[in-house]
Amino acid sequence: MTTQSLPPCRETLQNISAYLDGELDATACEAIEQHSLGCPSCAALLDGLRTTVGLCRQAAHVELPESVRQRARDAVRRLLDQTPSAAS
Amino acid sequence: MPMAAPSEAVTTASEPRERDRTEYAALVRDAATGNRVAMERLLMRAQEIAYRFSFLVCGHPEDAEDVMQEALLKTFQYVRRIDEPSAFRTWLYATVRNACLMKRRRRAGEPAGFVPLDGHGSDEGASIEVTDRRIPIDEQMVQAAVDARLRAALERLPPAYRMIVVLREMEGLSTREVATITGYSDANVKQRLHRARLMLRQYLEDA
Repeated sequence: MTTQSLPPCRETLQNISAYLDGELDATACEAIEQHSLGCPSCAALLDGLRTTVGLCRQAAHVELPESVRQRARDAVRRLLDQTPSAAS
Repeated sequence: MPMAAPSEAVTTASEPRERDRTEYAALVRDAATGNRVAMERLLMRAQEIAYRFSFLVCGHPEDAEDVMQEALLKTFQYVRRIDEPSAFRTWLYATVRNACLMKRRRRAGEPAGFVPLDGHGSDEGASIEVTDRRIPIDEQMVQAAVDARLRAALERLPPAYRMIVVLREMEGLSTREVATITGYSDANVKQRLHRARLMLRQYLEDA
Protein backbone atom coordinates (compact mmCIF):
# COMPACT_ATOMS: atom_id res chain seq x y z
CA MET A 1 0.00 0.00 0.00
CA THR A 2 2.94 2.36 0.56
CA THR A 3 6.37 2.72 -0.99
CA GLN A 4 9.55 3.70 0.76
CA SER A 5 9.41 7.29 -0.52
CA LEU A 6 5.81 7.86 0.61
CA PRO A 7 4.57 8.34 4.15
CA PRO A 8 3.04 5.30 5.76
CA CYS A 9 -0.66 5.36 6.64
CA ARG A 10 0.05 6.31 10.24
CA GLU A 11 2.02 9.39 9.23
CA THR A 12 -0.72 10.39 6.81
CA LEU A 13 -3.31 10.01 9.55
CA GLN A 14 -1.26 12.19 11.91
CA ASN A 15 -0.90 14.97 9.35
CA ILE A 16 -4.27 14.83 7.72
CA SER A 17 -5.92 17.60 9.76
CA ALA A 18 -2.93 19.89 9.28
CA TYR A 19 -3.21 19.12 5.56
CA LEU A 20 -6.89 20.03 5.48
CA ASP A 21 -6.16 23.24 7.38
CA GLY A 22 -3.43 24.24 4.92
CA GLU A 23 -0.73 24.11 7.58
CA LEU A 24 1.70 21.80 5.78
CA ASP A 25 4.46 22.77 3.39
CA ALA A 26 4.28 21.82 -0.28
CA THR A 27 6.45 18.71 0.14
CA ALA A 28 4.32 17.32 2.96
CA CYS A 29 1.12 18.07 1.02
CA GLU A 30 2.41 16.30 -2.03
CA ALA A 31 3.45 13.30 0.06
CA ILE A 32 -0.09 12.96 1.43
CA GLU A 33 -1.64 13.40 -2.00
CA GLN A 34 0.69 10.84 -3.56
CA HIS A 35 0.13 8.40 -0.74
CA SER A 36 -3.64 8.74 -1.03
CA LEU A 37 -3.49 8.01 -4.75
CA GLY A 38 -2.10 4.57 -3.97
CA CYS A 39 -3.91 3.89 -0.70
CA PRO A 40 -7.70 3.51 -0.91
CA SER A 41 -8.21 3.56 2.86
CA CYS A 42 -6.30 6.84 3.33
CA ALA A 43 -8.05 8.29 0.27
CA ALA A 44 -11.42 7.37 1.79
CA LEU A 45 -10.40 8.87 5.14
CA LEU A 46 -9.24 12.07 3.49
CA ASP A 47 -12.45 12.32 1.51
CA GLY A 48 -14.59 11.60 4.58
CA LEU A 49 -12.81 14.21 6.67
CA ARG A 50 -13.07 16.78 3.92
CA THR A 51 -16.81 16.15 3.72
CA THR A 52 -17.13 16.31 7.53
CA VAL A 53 -15.32 19.63 7.77
CA GLY A 54 -17.31 20.99 4.85
CA LEU A 55 -20.57 19.98 6.50
CA CYS A 56 -19.56 21.72 9.73
CA ARG A 57 -18.70 24.90 7.88
CA GLN A 58 -21.96 24.86 5.95
CA ALA A 59 -23.83 24.57 9.25
CA ALA A 60 -22.02 27.61 10.59
CA HIS A 61 -24.76 29.97 9.48
CA VAL A 62 -27.35 29.32 12.16
CA GLU A 63 -29.62 32.36 12.16
CA LEU A 64 -31.59 33.51 15.17
CA PRO A 65 -35.27 32.53 14.91
CA GLU A 66 -37.28 35.67 14.10
CA SER A 67 -39.06 35.72 17.47
CA VAL A 68 -35.73 35.44 19.31
CA ARG A 69 -34.17 38.08 17.06
CA GLN A 70 -37.01 40.48 17.83
CA ARG A 71 -36.63 39.96 21.59
CA ALA A 72 -32.87 40.43 21.26
CA ARG A 73 -33.36 43.68 19.33
CA ASP A 74 -35.86 44.94 21.90
CA ALA A 75 -33.43 44.13 24.72
CA VAL A 76 -30.64 46.05 22.97
CA ARG A 77 -32.84 49.11 22.43
CA ARG A 78 -34.13 49.07 26.00
CA LEU A 79 -30.58 48.90 27.31
CA LEU A 80 -29.35 51.75 25.10
CA ASP A 81 -32.41 53.91 25.82
CA GLN A 82 -31.87 53.48 29.57
CA THR A 83 -28.29 54.71 29.26
CA PRO A 84 -28.36 57.79 27.03
CA SER A 85 -24.60 58.32 27.26
CA ALA A 86 -24.16 55.12 25.26
CA ALA A 87 -26.50 56.34 22.59
CA SER A 88 -24.96 59.60 21.49
CA MET B 1 8.59 26.87 6.41
CA PRO B 2 6.59 27.90 3.34
CA MET B 3 2.98 26.81 3.53
CA ALA B 4 1.27 25.30 0.57
CA ALA B 5 -2.28 25.56 -0.59
CA PRO B 6 -3.08 21.88 -0.88
CA SER B 7 -5.07 21.18 -3.97
CA GLU B 8 -8.14 19.89 -2.18
CA ALA B 9 -7.79 21.11 1.37
CA VAL B 10 -10.75 22.73 3.08
CA THR B 11 -9.25 26.16 3.63
CA THR B 12 -11.56 28.33 1.59
CA ALA B 13 -13.31 29.91 4.57
CA SER B 14 -10.21 31.68 5.86
CA GLU B 15 -10.72 34.95 3.98
CA PRO B 16 -14.26 35.70 5.17
CA ARG B 17 -13.16 34.69 8.66
CA GLU B 18 -10.34 37.23 8.58
CA ARG B 19 -12.85 39.82 7.36
CA ASP B 20 -15.07 38.94 10.34
CA ARG B 21 -12.19 39.62 12.70
CA THR B 22 -11.46 43.02 11.16
CA GLU B 23 -15.13 43.92 11.11
CA TYR B 24 -15.57 43.09 14.79
CA ALA B 25 -12.57 45.22 15.72
CA ALA B 26 -14.01 48.17 13.77
CA LEU B 27 -17.41 47.73 15.40
CA VAL B 28 -15.83 47.63 18.86
CA ARG B 29 -13.85 50.83 18.18
CA ASP B 30 -16.93 52.65 16.86
CA ALA B 31 -19.18 51.39 19.66
CA ALA B 32 -16.63 52.47 22.27
CA THR B 33 -16.76 56.05 20.96
CA GLY B 34 -20.54 56.20 21.40
CA ASN B 35 -21.74 55.26 17.92
CA ARG B 36 -25.20 53.88 18.62
CA VAL B 37 -25.56 51.99 15.34
CA ALA B 38 -22.24 50.23 15.91
CA MET B 39 -23.21 49.46 19.50
CA GLU B 40 -26.55 47.99 18.39
CA ARG B 41 -24.86 45.81 15.78
CA LEU B 42 -22.24 44.63 18.24
CA LEU B 43 -24.80 43.78 20.90
CA MET B 44 -26.91 41.87 18.37
CA ARG B 45 -23.85 39.91 17.26
CA ALA B 46 -22.96 39.14 20.86
CA GLN B 47 -26.41 37.67 21.33
CA GLU B 48 -26.22 35.71 18.08
CA ILE B 49 -22.97 34.15 19.20
CA ALA B 50 -24.49 33.35 22.59
CA TYR B 51 -27.48 31.71 20.91
CA ARG B 52 -25.40 29.58 18.54
CA PHE B 53 -23.05 28.49 21.30
CA SER B 54 -25.91 27.54 23.64
CA PHE B 55 -27.67 25.72 20.84
CA LEU B 56 -24.74 23.82 19.39
CA VAL B 57 -22.37 23.32 22.33
CA CYS B 58 -24.48 23.27 25.47
CA GLY B 59 -27.39 21.39 23.95
CA HIS B 60 -29.96 23.19 26.07
CA PRO B 61 -31.82 25.57 23.73
CA GLU B 62 -34.04 26.66 26.62
CA ASP B 63 -30.97 28.24 28.28
CA ALA B 64 -30.08 30.23 25.20
CA GLU B 65 -31.96 33.41 26.02
CA ASP B 66 -30.45 33.64 29.52
CA VAL B 67 -27.00 33.25 28.03
CA MET B 68 -27.87 35.88 25.40
CA GLN B 69 -28.89 38.30 28.15
CA GLU B 70 -25.60 37.72 29.93
CA ALA B 71 -23.68 38.32 26.69
CA LEU B 72 -25.66 41.51 26.07
CA LEU B 73 -24.99 43.04 29.48
CA LYS B 74 -21.35 41.96 29.72
CA THR B 75 -20.59 43.24 26.20
CA PHE B 76 -22.26 46.55 26.96
CA GLN B 77 -20.23 46.95 30.17
CA TYR B 78 -16.98 45.80 28.59
CA VAL B 79 -16.93 47.51 25.24
CA ARG B 80 -15.96 50.97 26.47
CA ARG B 81 -13.12 49.60 28.57
CA ILE B 82 -11.50 47.44 25.92
CA ASP B 83 -7.88 48.23 25.09
CA GLU B 84 -7.49 45.73 22.31
CA PRO B 85 -10.46 45.58 19.90
CA SER B 86 -8.93 42.63 18.06
CA ALA B 87 -9.21 40.56 21.25
CA PHE B 88 -12.94 41.24 21.57
CA ARG B 89 -14.17 38.06 19.93
CA THR B 90 -12.00 35.87 22.15
CA TRP B 91 -13.30 37.68 25.21
CA LEU B 92 -16.89 37.31 24.01
CA TYR B 93 -16.67 33.56 23.39
CA ALA B 94 -14.98 33.05 26.75
CA THR B 95 -17.79 35.04 28.38
CA VAL B 96 -20.46 33.01 26.61
CA ARG B 97 -18.73 29.76 27.48
CA ASN B 98 -18.63 30.77 31.14
CA ALA B 99 -22.28 31.81 31.07
CA CYS B 100 -23.22 28.38 29.67
CA LEU B 101 -21.09 26.75 32.33
CA MET B 102 -22.79 28.71 35.10
CA LYS B 103 -26.19 27.70 33.74
CA ARG B 104 -25.10 24.08 33.88
CA ARG B 105 -23.96 24.44 37.46
CA ARG B 106 -27.17 26.12 38.54
CA ARG B 107 -29.36 23.60 36.78
CA ALA B 108 -31.13 21.37 39.21
CA GLY B 109 -31.30 17.71 38.31
CA GLU B 110 -28.40 17.72 35.87
CA PRO B 111 -28.75 14.63 33.68
CA ALA B 112 -26.55 11.82 34.91
CA GLY B 113 -23.37 11.42 32.91
CA PHE B 114 -23.32 15.00 31.65
CA VAL B 115 -19.75 16.08 31.20
CA PRO B 116 -19.15 19.72 32.13
CA LEU B 117 -17.63 22.06 29.57
CA ASP B 118 -14.69 22.80 31.82
CA GLY B 119 -13.80 19.15 32.22
CA HIS B 120 -10.30 19.42 30.80
CA GLY B 121 -9.60 15.79 31.38
CA SER B 122 -13.01 14.51 30.43
CA ASP B 123 -12.58 12.88 27.07
CA GLU B 124 -15.05 10.09 27.59
CA GLY B 125 -18.07 10.19 25.35
CA ALA B 126 -21.29 11.50 26.83
CA SER B 127 -24.23 12.53 24.78
CA ILE B 128 -26.11 15.64 25.76
CA GLU B 129 -29.64 15.21 26.88
CA VAL B 130 -31.99 17.99 25.97
CA THR B 131 -34.35 18.00 28.91
CA ASP B 132 -37.12 20.06 27.34
CA ARG B 133 -37.95 19.39 23.73
CA ARG B 134 -41.07 21.57 23.78
CA ILE B 135 -39.41 24.34 21.85
CA PRO B 136 -41.14 26.89 19.61
CA ILE B 137 -41.67 26.05 15.97
CA ASP B 138 -39.28 28.69 14.67
CA GLU B 139 -36.52 27.28 16.82
CA GLN B 140 -37.32 23.84 15.50
CA MET B 141 -36.81 25.26 12.01
CA VAL B 142 -33.35 26.45 13.04
CA GLN B 143 -32.57 22.99 14.30
CA ALA B 144 -33.69 21.58 10.97
CA ALA B 145 -31.36 23.98 9.20
CA VAL B 146 -28.39 22.34 10.85
CA ASP B 147 -28.08 19.02 9.16
CA ALA B 148 -29.84 16.51 11.40
CA ARG B 149 -27.11 13.93 10.96
CA LEU B 150 -24.44 16.48 11.84
CA ARG B 151 -26.33 17.54 14.95
CA ALA B 152 -26.71 13.96 16.07
CA ALA B 153 -23.01 13.37 15.44
CA LEU B 154 -22.05 16.54 17.33
CA GLU B 155 -24.16 15.48 20.31
CA ARG B 156 -22.23 12.22 20.51
CA LEU B 157 -18.91 14.05 20.85
CA PRO B 158 -17.47 14.59 24.33
CA PRO B 159 -18.50 18.18 25.24
CA ALA B 160 -14.96 19.52 25.34
CA TYR B 161 -14.40 18.21 21.79
CA ARG B 162 -17.74 19.51 20.61
CA MET B 163 -16.81 22.99 21.85
CA ILE B 164 -13.58 22.92 19.85
CA VAL B 165 -15.35 21.78 16.68
CA VAL B 166 -17.96 24.52 17.02
CA LEU B 167 -15.41 27.25 17.76
CA ARG B 168 -12.96 26.23 15.02
CA GLU B 169 -15.13 24.89 12.22
CA MET B 170 -18.38 26.73 12.70
CA GLU B 171 -17.44 30.00 14.35
CA GLY B 172 -14.20 30.28 12.40
CA LEU B 173 -11.87 31.07 15.28
CA SER B 174 -8.14 30.40 14.98
CA THR B 175 -6.34 27.70 16.95
CA ARG B 176 -4.79 30.43 19.13
CA GLU B 177 -8.17 32.00 19.85
CA VAL B 178 -9.68 28.64 20.79
CA ALA B 179 -6.70 27.94 23.03
CA THR B 180 -7.23 31.27 24.80
CA ILE B 181 -10.95 30.61 25.29
CA THR B 182 -10.63 27.01 26.48
CA GLY B 183 -7.36 27.22 28.40
CA TYR B 184 -5.82 24.39 26.36
CA SER B 185 -2.47 24.70 24.62
CA ASP B 186 -2.40 25.28 20.84
CA ALA B 187 -1.10 21.73 20.36
CA ASN B 188 -3.91 20.35 22.50
CA VAL B 189 -6.54 22.26 20.52
CA LYS B 190 -5.13 20.84 17.27
CA GLN B 191 -4.97 17.34 18.67
CA ARG B 192 -8.54 17.48 19.98
CA LEU B 193 -9.82 18.96 16.74
CA HIS B 194 -8.16 16.15 14.80
CA ARG B 195 -9.67 13.49 17.07
CA ALA B 196 -13.05 15.20 16.98
CA ARG B 197 -13.02 15.23 13.17
CA LEU B 198 -12.22 11.53 13.10
CA MET B 199 -15.03 10.79 15.55
CA LEU B 200 -17.49 12.99 13.67
CA ARG B 201 -16.66 11.29 10.39
CA GLN B 202 -17.26 7.92 12.00
CA TYR B 203 -20.56 9.03 13.57
CA LEU B 204 -21.73 10.48 10.26
CA GLU B 205 -20.93 7.22 8.54
CA ASP B 206 -22.74 5.25 11.25
CA ALA B 207 -25.81 7.38 10.63
